[in-house]
Amino acid sequence: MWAVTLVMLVFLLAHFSLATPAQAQSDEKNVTETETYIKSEKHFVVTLRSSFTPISDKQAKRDFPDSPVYLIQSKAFDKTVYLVRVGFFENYADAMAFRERALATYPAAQVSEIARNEYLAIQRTLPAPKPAAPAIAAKKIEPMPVPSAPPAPTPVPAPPASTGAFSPKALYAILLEESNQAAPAARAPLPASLKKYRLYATQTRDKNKTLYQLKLGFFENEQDVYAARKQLKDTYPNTKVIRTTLNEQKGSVRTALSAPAVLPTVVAPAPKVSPGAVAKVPVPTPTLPAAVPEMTPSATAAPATSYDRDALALLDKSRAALARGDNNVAIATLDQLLRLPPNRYSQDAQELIGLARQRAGETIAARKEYELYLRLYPTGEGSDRVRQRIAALDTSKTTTPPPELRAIKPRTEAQYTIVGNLSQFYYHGASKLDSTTLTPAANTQNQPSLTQTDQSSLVTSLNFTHRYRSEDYDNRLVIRDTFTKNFLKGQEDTNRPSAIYYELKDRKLDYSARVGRQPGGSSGVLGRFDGVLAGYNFSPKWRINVVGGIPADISYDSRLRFLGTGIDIGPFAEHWGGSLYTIEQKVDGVTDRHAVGSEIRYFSQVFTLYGLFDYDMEFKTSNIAMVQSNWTATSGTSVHVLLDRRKTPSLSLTNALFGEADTSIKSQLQTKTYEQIKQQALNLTSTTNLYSAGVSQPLSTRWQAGFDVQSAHTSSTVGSANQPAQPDTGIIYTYTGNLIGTGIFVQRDVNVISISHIVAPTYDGNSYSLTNRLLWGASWSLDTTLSWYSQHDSSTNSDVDRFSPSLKPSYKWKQNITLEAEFGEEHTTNKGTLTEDTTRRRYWSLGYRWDF
Amino acid sequence: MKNPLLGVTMLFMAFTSSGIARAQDVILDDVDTSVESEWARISIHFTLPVNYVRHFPQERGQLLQIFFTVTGMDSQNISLREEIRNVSATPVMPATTITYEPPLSLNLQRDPSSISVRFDRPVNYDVRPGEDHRSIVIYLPIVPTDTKPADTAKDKPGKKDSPAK
Repeated sequence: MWAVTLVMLVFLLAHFSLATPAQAQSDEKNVTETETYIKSEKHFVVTLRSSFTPISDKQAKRDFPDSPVYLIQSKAFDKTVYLVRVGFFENYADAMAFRERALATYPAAQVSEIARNEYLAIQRTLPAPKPAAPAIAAKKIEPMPVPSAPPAPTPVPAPPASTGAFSPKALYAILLEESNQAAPAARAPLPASLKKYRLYATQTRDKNKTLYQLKLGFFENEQDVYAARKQLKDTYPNTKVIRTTLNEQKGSVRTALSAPAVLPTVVAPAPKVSPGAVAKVPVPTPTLPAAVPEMTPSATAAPATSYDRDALALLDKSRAALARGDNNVAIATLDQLLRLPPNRYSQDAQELIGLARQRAGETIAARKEYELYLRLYPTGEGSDRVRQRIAALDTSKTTTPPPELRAIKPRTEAQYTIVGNLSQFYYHGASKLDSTTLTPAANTQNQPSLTQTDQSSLVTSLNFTHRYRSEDYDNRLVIRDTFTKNFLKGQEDTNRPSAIYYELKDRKLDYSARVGRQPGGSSGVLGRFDGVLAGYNFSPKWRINVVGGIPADISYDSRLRFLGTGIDIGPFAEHWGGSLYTIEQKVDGVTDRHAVGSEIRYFSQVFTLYGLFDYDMEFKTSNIAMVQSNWTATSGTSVHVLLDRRKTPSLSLTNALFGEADTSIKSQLQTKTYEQIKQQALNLTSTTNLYSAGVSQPLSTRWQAGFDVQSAHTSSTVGSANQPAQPDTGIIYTYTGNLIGTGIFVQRDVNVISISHIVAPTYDGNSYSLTNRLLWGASWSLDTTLSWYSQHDSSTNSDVDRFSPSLKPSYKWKQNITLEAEFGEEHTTNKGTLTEDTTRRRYWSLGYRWDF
Repeated sequence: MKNPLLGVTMLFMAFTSSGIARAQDVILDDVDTSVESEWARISIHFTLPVNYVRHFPQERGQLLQIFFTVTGMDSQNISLREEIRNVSATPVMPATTITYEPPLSLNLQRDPSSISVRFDRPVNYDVRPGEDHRSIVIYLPIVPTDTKPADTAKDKPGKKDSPAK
């Protein structure tokens, strides 16, 4: 066995030694001249160990503390191979000499020549230069000549387009025209107010077609860009506001155009210009801004490579992570990008990883990244910027951080918005019950059948939000209401407003108030209520809240109202926050619920925790004790945990009214004492313990797997004279595995396959479900669900089988109208020792939704 | 508010309309958006504490499914009706429809609730639980149209005889 392993390892090492230079050779096709110059260096390492299973490099680091030891992985025979290596040696002889010394401890040590990518990647991540390792001398890199468009006559004599420098924040542009045949030319002179902006041409690929575009840029904010668009609408009726990149802004200097000096006297279609001709429109050399990079190996100028797509996705991800302060994710993602062969985004990524490390407080590593950037890209605007960043690193100990390192403040512009939707759906449901009595002794069967329409209703829902936002205020009016028109006899129409409130937030004075029907869930309010919730930040980290009102979901003949107050605290220690509250709810003049409680929160980009504790002072027992947490790794693995113990229903005096014909506490108090009613409430309240945990793991870009386990237990109740006792449920365990995939049946679909096994004291059950949600064309979508549940109850020797297929197509019509339908059936068989009941319910719905 | 009468009037009309009954539990609250220099954010707020479970696809797509559990809710009160919120398109954010999907069964742990987020075009994103534990946040990196400068004459020698000349 050892011999086989040794042979395998030797074979693998030989494979890598040979394969690595070959890889480097293939990469050479895509590198710039600068990179080719660097590639002339050779880098040798000694591979100490290799394995198909993950291994550690800790021991090797201890064995060779003065040499760079690193762990790297590669692919061989479709398997991941893990390698512990020590580097770097400028020549083979030095590496062999090192290997001779290492052989005593690492008998499989081999010398390998590594690719430049590996060398650069490891150089970036090494904590500090190692004196024992041969230093790689930084070589001077000669700048490339400035790429410039050849001179050509200007088609229209006119003042030149703006060639002034734009702010890096000015990234809005107007797409004036687009053509897949030739680059559109300017139709008319720009209004005087827009002369400062730049008219330029770009091209892009869309479904194997090249699109030539005429654009005007660059605007700093939406207000300016939309105002400009309005001015140009007569000349360019099909304009579109877009967001561009800094690279496009920089590159636009080379393709800047001149607008015609005078309007055409005859209104005619704009003359089409070929892409080449557009490019040949000269930008007068003297007016070229000094900011034109001498060499721009950036996203727009570097040659396209096959890795660009992956690199762009990684760059986007890293930028998002960086922007929201998730520096570790940004570093990991950028590192992944930089391990790719050189591509259009390598330069940007090299700068960003420096910034990410800087933001993460890794000053030394950040400096190393920046220095590597300067070695790779020694000239151009980017290098100037990186030099400034290095200078900022030097002064950061004594000065305030540069603007890009400060917290990003949300931009707020005064605006009114009305959003929401109005929908109307008709629901119809009909069920049929076939009951069979099994009497084997007499060999007779009785099959009464019952058929009825159980649903026929028109449901109208309104969701309306009117919002006003400015630097000082953020106010909104919210209305959510559902009206159900029932067409079945004996069923009344209902109107259910779930939210009707007006909210005022004063940003300057830092107070807010919400009046009306609103969701609860905070400050000790356990459900929806009609009332007021107001808060005031009396210091940046302290906020006092007051809440008062009437619970909205109560159907007793009693009058309830509550009043509470609380304090929000935090954030403290960067990640922690919480709140304390006390609330008293009265029912018919006596205490219904009197609670104190607290919430505790921890939030970081990878780990969150939320705890809630609610203790009732009147009943002298805890009402809710709950902790939930979530952890997300950079690899995409996520873990969630929930520990929840609570009274069910939530503890209050009105729980004593369950089963009572007289649902008035005032009336109850005429025959019972307050203490007796309290005891009755306790007797009718159970305690539920719910514990669950789960993990999700991406398997590939198309598949993800998850596993959840939970236990649930609800205690028995004592009951009352009018409400029977409820038995203890025992502990019910549920194990659920699921597989989620995309692009399985069609390109744009999401499929969820879920299998659960339930183990309870008296029954076992299995649940299987498949949900497919797909988009079809620009307007269609279809949801398909197949669900099957089976259960065997050992206490009654009965079986339940339920099969539920459903189909839900929808069609989006004219952007803001969606037509939806649903068709489904639920087929349930309940088989006992003496009877077999089969229920079949068919339902459908049809309606529309108008989004505004 | 520029038009306070509008708010007061509508609030009054809504309260005084006939047939008001008690409300059911609704899961989705507001949806907020914000735009920064490098990314856009969609915050989906819930009316109760939620525990983010998982989302899929992981990083990119037009149809995003986010699974979560709603804590502190009785299964009897769970909303069995779709709830929908919309986000209008902006230059940096596609139009987005957020739909609360009722669970397949009343076993809320076995069948966690989910929201499906449909973007008007495929986008890159990241999904994280919100800081207040009553929200889930979608981060959208601002990805502009991937363009490059128009080809130079050197690149396209065959285009010398263009109509523009």
